[in-house]
Amino acid sequence: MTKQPILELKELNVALLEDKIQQTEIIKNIDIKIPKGEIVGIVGESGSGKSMTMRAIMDILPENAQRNFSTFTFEGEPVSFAKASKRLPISMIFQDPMTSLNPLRKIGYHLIEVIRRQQKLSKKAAKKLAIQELEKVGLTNPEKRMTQYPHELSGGMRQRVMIAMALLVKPKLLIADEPTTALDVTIQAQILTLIQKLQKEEDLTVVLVTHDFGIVAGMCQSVKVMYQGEIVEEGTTDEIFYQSQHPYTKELLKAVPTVEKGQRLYAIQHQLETGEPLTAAQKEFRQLSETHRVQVAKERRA
Amino acid sequence: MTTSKYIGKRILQVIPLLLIISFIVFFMIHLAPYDVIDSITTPNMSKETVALMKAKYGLDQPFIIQYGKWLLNILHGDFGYSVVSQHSISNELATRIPNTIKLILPSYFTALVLAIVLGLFAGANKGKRIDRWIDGICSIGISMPTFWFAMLVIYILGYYLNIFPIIGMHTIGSENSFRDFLRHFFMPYFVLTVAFFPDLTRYVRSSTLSQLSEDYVLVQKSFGASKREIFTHHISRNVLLPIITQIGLALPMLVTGAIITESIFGWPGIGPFFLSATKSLDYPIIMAILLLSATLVILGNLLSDVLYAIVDPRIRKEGSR
Repeated sequence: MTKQPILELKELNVALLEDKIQQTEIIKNIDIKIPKGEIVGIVGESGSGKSMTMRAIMDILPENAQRNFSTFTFEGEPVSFAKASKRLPISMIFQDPMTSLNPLRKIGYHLIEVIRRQQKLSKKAAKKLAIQELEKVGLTNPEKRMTQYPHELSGGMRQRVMIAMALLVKPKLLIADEPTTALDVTIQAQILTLIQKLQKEEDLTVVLVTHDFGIVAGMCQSVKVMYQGEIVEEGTTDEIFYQSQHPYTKELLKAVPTVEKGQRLYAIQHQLETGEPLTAAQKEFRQLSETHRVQVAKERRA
Repeated sequence: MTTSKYIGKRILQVIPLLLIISFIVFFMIHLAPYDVIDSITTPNMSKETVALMKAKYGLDQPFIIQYGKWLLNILHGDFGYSVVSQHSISNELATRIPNTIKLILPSYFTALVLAIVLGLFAGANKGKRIDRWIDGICSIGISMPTFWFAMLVIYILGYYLNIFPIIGMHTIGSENSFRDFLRHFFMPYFVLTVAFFPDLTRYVRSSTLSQLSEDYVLVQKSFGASKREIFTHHISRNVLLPIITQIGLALPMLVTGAIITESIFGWPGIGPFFLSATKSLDYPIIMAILLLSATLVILGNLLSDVLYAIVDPRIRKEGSR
């Protein structure tokens, strides 16, 4: 590895407890390494465990979820989620900016609350800082925005507010969980450009969860493909796009819509998958290059 | 401020509704198989005398004119006279309604505060032991008849322990003693509080749970807000919204909220008055109280709309368009 990873997580498992006896595994034994200073894309279909992995990192899993991992390091330091431990400098922005803010609280209240939780500042100083931050994320008329309620702003504006909130925590890692899915296409581009710009300016590492390969191609240096709670392939963007190995990745790439008229959308063929499902012991990773690895069945190699 | 415009609009909408209700009330009573003449006359009076009596009270006139006169009188604050005692209903109501309010307002308020505290607490600890306890207490409270609980309270506190007087609002001779009032007040107050709080608690609890599943709570968590911060800074305020509706809907209870409890404790409020009027078919009284409580239902709705507009910024905005 050329760069030191900012976050490294080994053997992460998450299970949802349905009732006292039954549980469903939703994240199966995955290892994640996020290189510092990059924009890393995580792709996969709905229900593949992208968001749950992110929520496991943020420690905001649903109450009936059980999480365990063997090692979790952030900037080389081991992390524990014990109550007294310090918060990691990670922040997260969410899919739907329409519901991410409390509808009864003003924008300013949200921002100032975040600031004052971390720094001992007077209300006035916090307000000033909040206005600066709103300016930075490209909101016009920030003083006025501070006194407005969420419903008075558009979706794109609210997502900018969310980004401002996220940056006020002074994160080193920003997790963006489908930040543009709920937005118009033109606004999508604006928000993504903003994230890219901020990533450079603030020296951030960004994890971008998406199911849009177009976004991945345009923004990310490396990609992880998730399928049914596992990372099935990972590598640099070029490696994934041009030398994809895993059948699911190939299917996913085929499903990217083209602009050709009259062509039907491609539906992923799940049965192309390796016949019957394999147990964890039957699967392993094959290293194709320094950065590129793919999950394969053990027997095949033999 | 656009809120005032919105409120004005809502008040204007209330007026025709009230007219319709008054008409329905009058019409229904008119349909009843007895009228005032039956209670004044005796079967051995001659037909001419009865007709004379009818004319005297204006009962020989067509229905719509009777209604008009009745409505006009009510607008002047005159609800007519009881056919049994011949007392003015307005005077009677003017002394009895404050008594009822004195009893219900504190009970409802206590129940509301209790419900908000317990409901938030139960919602925050969903599925844990404390939640199940609160839920269990509410179930018992809902399923227990008020009159039975009142009897139990009277037996234990009033008879067995002999702490509180069982009946009335004052001891004769000490009408101005506040201490004496409180002693009479406690038992019905307690019974009503117990009657009111379980429903409200469940309401607050479910409202808390629905707020907890909102996205913004997850977002707040991801920003490291503690459970306490989420509750005090965000949820407690959002939970208030549905509760405000409840407060408005509870307004008619100020008149008819404790008919049975008041009767059991001999509290000189609307309750015993209404019950005895029903027994003796004293229809002007029934009509007055029906009209009053129907009016309060409408005003209660208006009140909750207005309060809602004040608390919820989203509604405030729509009013301005």
